[in-house]
Amino acid sequence: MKSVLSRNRLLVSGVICIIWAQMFVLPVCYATKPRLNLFPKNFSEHIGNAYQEASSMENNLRDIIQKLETQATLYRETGCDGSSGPGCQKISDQISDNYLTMLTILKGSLPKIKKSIDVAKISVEETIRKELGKKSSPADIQKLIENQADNQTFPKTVNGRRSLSSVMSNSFKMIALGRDHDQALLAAEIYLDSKAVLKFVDLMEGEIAHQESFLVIGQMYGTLTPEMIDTVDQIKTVIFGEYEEGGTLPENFEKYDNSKLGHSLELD
Amino acid sequence: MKTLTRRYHMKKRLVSAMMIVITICFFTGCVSQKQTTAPVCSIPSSPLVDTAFQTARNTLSNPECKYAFSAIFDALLDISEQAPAPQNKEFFIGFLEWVRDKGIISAIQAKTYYTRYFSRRFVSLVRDYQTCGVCPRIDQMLKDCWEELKQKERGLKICSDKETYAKAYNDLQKIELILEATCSACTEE
Repeated sequence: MKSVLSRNRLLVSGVICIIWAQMFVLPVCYATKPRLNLFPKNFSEHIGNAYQEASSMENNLRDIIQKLETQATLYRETGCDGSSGPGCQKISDQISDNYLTMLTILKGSLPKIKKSIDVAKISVEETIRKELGKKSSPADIQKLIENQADNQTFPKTVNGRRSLSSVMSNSFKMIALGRDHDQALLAAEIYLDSKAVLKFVDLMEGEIAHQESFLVIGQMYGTLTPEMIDTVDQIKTVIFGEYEEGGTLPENFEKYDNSKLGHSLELD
Repeated sequence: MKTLTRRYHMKKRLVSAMMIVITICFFTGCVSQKQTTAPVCSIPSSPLVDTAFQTARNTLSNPECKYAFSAIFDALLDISEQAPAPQNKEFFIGFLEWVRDKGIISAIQAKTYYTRYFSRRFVSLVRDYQTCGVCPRIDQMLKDCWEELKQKERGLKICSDKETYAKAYNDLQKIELILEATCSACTEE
């Protein structure tokens, strides 16, 4: 009788322990590994829209830039510099027309791209500020990315620039893949890229308005002027992108994995 | 007369005695002086890594040599640099645990030394403040991190631990990017 009683008491204590553990201990365990959510609900939609706009603008500009460059080469190589012959005048008019077309395409597309990117930028900016800026210390940020470093990749955008649409499509794909541990880095990349793109768009809009007025009053025609070449170069950067290589590791390490040692001595 | 002569002799003896005392004082120092010889805290110099670690322990076993810990640790790094090997990491871990257990350095100092030289984590990254609060001095913090990476390179080369160094290097590049974005977002508020 006594042993049955004590067995029951043990059972009850066990159940209480389990309930207690579920109420207090387990939630704490889960709480130590918070799920970061740096991308708001409509973020993918905004990025998707920006990608569509950027992609369509790039396709339209690709041909026109190629034409412009061919015509400029032809103009130079046929000795049209300083000539007012009818053939040269025709090439000159074509250059002006194409340049104006390029500016028109940019003028039509940039505000739409700007709007989509701006909305996406503001939303990710808020979550970065809240989750990484106010809820985490710099050391917490390293803990967040620790799991991800095993793939040994370096963010390409640290030193280089990619084309507008590839930035957007990359962001879109990464978000769609839902790589949790990549979120902090991905959000940072997207945010910085968006800021750079918006700055570029602002500059381009100013420049377009300026050059358009010159073209309309006929002061800028003929071969590509230095101002026009600058604009074309900038647009080419946005369309075709440019890469700089990421950092490299020193090679004089012997290959040996003793990296798992000494974790008890590591700072939290 | 006899009394006068005796007094004269007594004075003479007294003067002689004083002269002797003064002479002794002159050569030995009058004030009783405690014999203080500085402890010999030998810094390891053997090219053999295990011998160097043994010397380090012997030296630090003398409580008066506690102050020499930093110089001894640096000497151990120097010696191990000449003979890089995977087992060096175990030597350093064992040594840091020993100095911690002996109370030569605190547990947090032991962790800091280990992390600075042998771990992918960065001691220089602020732990106690939110990132937005650290933004005004983010440049200095990142500069310290790059300096720390050099120390990790030294420590991890000694242990031939390429993997951990690669992770630290990779982390730092990413941290730099994330902190740039975060501080930019903080300032937009």
